[in-house]
Amino acid sequence: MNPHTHQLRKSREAGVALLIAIFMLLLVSAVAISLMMSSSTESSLASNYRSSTSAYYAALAGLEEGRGRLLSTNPNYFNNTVANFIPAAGLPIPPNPQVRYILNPLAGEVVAPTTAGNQYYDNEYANEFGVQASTLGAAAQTIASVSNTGGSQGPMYKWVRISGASEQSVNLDVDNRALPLDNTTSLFYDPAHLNLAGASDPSLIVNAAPPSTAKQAYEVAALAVLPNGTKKLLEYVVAPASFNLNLDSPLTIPGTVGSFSGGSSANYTIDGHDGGGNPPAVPGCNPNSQGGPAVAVSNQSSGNTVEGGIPSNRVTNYTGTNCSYDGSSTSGCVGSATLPNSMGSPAALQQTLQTIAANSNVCLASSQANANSAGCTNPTISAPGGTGYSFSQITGAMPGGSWPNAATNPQVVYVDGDLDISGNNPGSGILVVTGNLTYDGNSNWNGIILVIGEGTTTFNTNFNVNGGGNGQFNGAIFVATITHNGNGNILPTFGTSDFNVNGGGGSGIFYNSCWINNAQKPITYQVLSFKEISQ
Amino acid sequence: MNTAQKSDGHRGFTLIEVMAAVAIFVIVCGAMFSLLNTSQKRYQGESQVLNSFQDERLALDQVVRDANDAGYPPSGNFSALPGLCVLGAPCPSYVDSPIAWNPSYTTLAPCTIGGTCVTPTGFDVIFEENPTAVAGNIEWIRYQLVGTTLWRGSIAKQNADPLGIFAGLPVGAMVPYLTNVMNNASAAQIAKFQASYPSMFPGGNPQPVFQYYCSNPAAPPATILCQNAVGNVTLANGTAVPASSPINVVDVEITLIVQTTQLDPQTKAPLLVELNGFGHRVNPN
Repeated sequence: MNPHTHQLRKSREAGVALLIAIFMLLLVSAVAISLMMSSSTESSLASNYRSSTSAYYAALAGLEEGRGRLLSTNPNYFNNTVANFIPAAGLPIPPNPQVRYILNPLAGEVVAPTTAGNQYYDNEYANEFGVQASTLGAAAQTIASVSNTGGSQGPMYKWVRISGASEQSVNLDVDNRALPLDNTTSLFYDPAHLNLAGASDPSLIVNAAPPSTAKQAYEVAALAVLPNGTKKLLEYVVAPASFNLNLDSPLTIPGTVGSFSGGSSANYTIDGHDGGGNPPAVPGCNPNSQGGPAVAVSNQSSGNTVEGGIPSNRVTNYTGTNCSYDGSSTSGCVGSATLPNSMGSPAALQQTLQTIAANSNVCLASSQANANSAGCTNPTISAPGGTGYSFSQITGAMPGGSWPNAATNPQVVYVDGDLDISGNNPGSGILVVTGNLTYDGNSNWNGIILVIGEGTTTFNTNFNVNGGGNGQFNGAIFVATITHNGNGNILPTFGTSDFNVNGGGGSGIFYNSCWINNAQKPITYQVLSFKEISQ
Repeated sequence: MNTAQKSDGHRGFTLIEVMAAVAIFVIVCGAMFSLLNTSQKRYQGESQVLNSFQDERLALDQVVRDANDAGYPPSGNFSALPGLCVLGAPCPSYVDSPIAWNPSYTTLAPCTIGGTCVTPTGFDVIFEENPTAVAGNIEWIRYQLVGTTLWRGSIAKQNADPLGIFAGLPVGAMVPYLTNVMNNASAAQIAKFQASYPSMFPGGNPQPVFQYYCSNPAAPPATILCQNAVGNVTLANGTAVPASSPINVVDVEITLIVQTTQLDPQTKAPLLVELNGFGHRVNPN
C-alpha cells in the first residue's frame, strides 16, 4: 500500500463524526419533542374546558343584551334604534309571526339565521314553532348588536332571537289541560293571576283575551359559537315587571279608618266601575275589569266609619261592585280591600316604596344630596307636617323644567314629605306622598296615588281636599299608615288613616284599570325561566 | 513487508485510547438515557394527570350544567299547577325548589344549609330540573361523594322524600361518576397532600365539593355563603322561608380535587388536580 492510498482512507473516515453528531442531535430532539408534546396536550385540554364555559357565558351575554334592550328606559332600547322594532301590540306567533334577531357577526362573517344553509341558521325555530326560520321572510327583522361598540370584540354570540311564546314553543303545559300543547295562543304573564284557591299566584297564562294586568311574555334565545366550534344555545322566557300596584278600587284605605268625610257637592263621585266618568282614553286599552267597591277597607268597623262619613244626600254617588260592607241597600258602596302582594302588609309596602323611589323619574326628598333628582336611595317615611313640597317643584325637577303632556305622559313621582297639588295641575303616573297630600277641586291625576304615612291612632295620615272644582282622578288612590309615630319602625299591621274632603271636592275619583296599568311602566324584564337547549 | 512501515501506517488504538473513548461514550449515553428516563417518567406522570384532568373536566362540566339548569321549569310558568303526584305515577311538571332537601321535602318548611339539612351538604346535592326540556319530565339529579368516589344518579321526581327514594333504588341507579376524589380525605392524607400542594385544603380541612351561595336579604342582590345568611326571604307566592334554605340557593361553587391513580413516578409524591366551577341558577323560585 502506498502512502497515497492511506491518505485517501483517512479522509473517508472523517465523515463518521458528522454521522455521530447527527445521531446525537436526533436523540436530543426526540426527547425534547416528547416533552413539548406532553405539555401542549395539557394546554389544549385546558383550553377545551375554557371554551365550553366561554360559550356558555357568551350566550348568556346575548340573552342579557336582548332582555336589556327590551326595556324602554334603556338608552339602547330597540325602538330607539329602529322605530317600532318591538311593536306596541307585541310579537305575534305563527301563523302570522313577527320575529326579531340581534346579529353579532365577526368582521367579514355573514350571520343569517333565517337563510337556510348559513352556518348559523336558526334550526331551533322550526322545533319550537313548527315552521322553518327560512320561511319567515320579512316577518324577521334584524338589528345590530351593541356589544362591540368602541372597537373591542364583545362576547362571541352570533344571534339573539326575540319572539312571542306559546305552550308548544316553551314545551310546557302552562294551563294543565290535556295535551297536545297549545301552539296558537301567545303566552302572557299576569302578575295579578289568582290560583284556584283565590290566592295571589303570578304566572304565565294561556288566554286569547288576556286581562289588562297581563303582559306578553317573550322568548329570548341566543346562539354562541366560538372560533373552535364550541356551541351553546340558551333560552329565556321574559316578561315586563312593574311595581304590581294593581288595586281594584278607586279608594283603598287599609287598617283602621279614623275619620272619613266625603265631598258635599252633587258632582263629587267615587265610582268603582272600571272606566266611569268619561276619562281620557289610554290608546289601545279598553277598561273592562270587574272593578271594585267605591271605598275598600279592611273590616266592617272601618266600613261603618266610611258609611257614616258619606253625606246622606250623596250616597248614590258612591257606586261600585262587591259592596260587602254595606250597611243597607241605600248606603254608598263600601267593600273589602283585596291587596296585591306588594301592598299586602306595611313591610311589603315599604319594600315596594323603596323600589318605586329607586325607579322614580322625580324624587323630592330632603335626604337627597340633590333634592330634585331622579331615583332616591333609602328614602324615609316622613311624618305629616314635615317638609312640604308643591306641584311646581315636581314639574321643575323634570328634564328641561317642564312636564310635557302631563295629563297623559305618565311619570313616577316620589315625594318624601307633604305635597300640595292645589291649582289647575294635571298629572299622570304614579305619585307617592309620604305625608299629607293636599289638593283642591281643580287638580287632576290619571294613574295611581299612594299616600303613605307615619302615625298612630292619634296622629293620622290625611288626605285633604279643599274647595270645589272640576278636577278628576282616574285610576286608584291608596291611603295607609305604615310606621309608628316618632320612632319610624314599621307597624305589624296597617295603622289608622283618615280621608277628609272639605267642601265640594271636584268631580271625584273614578276607577280605571287602563290608567293603573299605563302608570306602571316596566322597570325590568324579569326572567321567568332559563334553559339550555342541547346542540 | 517492513514492520516499521506497518506500525507507521496501520497502528491500532492503544488500550488507554479505547478506554477513554468508551468512557466518554458511556458517559454521553448515560446522560442521554437518564434524560430519556426522566422524561419518560415525567411523561407517565403528566399523562396520568391528563387522564385525571380529562375525567374531572367532563364531570365538572356536567355538574355545572346541572346547577345552571336547576329549577327549570319554575312554578310561575304555570297558571294551573298539576295536582300532587303519587308514588309510582308521573310527578308534577314543575319544580318546587332548584335543590331538593331532606328532611320534610316540599312542605315549604325547608331545612337550613349548615343547620338542619341532611342534604344538601358539601358532599351531597340533589338538583331538581327538567334536563331534557321534554314536558312533564322533572328529574332529581343527585351527586354524592362517598369515600373517594363521586356518584351520580337521576330519577323521576316523586311526591316523597328524595333521600328515601334514592335509598330505595336498585343497585346501579347511582353510578360511580368520578373516582379518586380527595375532597373529603383524612387528616393524615391532607397533611401529605399539603406537602406538595400547600394552597389546596385551606386550613388543613376537607374541601367541600359543593358550596352554596344564597341571596342575601340584608344586602340584595348580593349573595352570601348560605350558612351565613340570616333573616327570611319571601317567595313569589308570598311564603317567607329562612334565607339559608336550599330553595334560596343562587350559586353553587363546585371544587373537585382528584388524585391520579399512581404516585408521581419521579418523586413518589401524590399528584392532584383541582378544578373549580361555578353554577348559577337563573330560574326564579
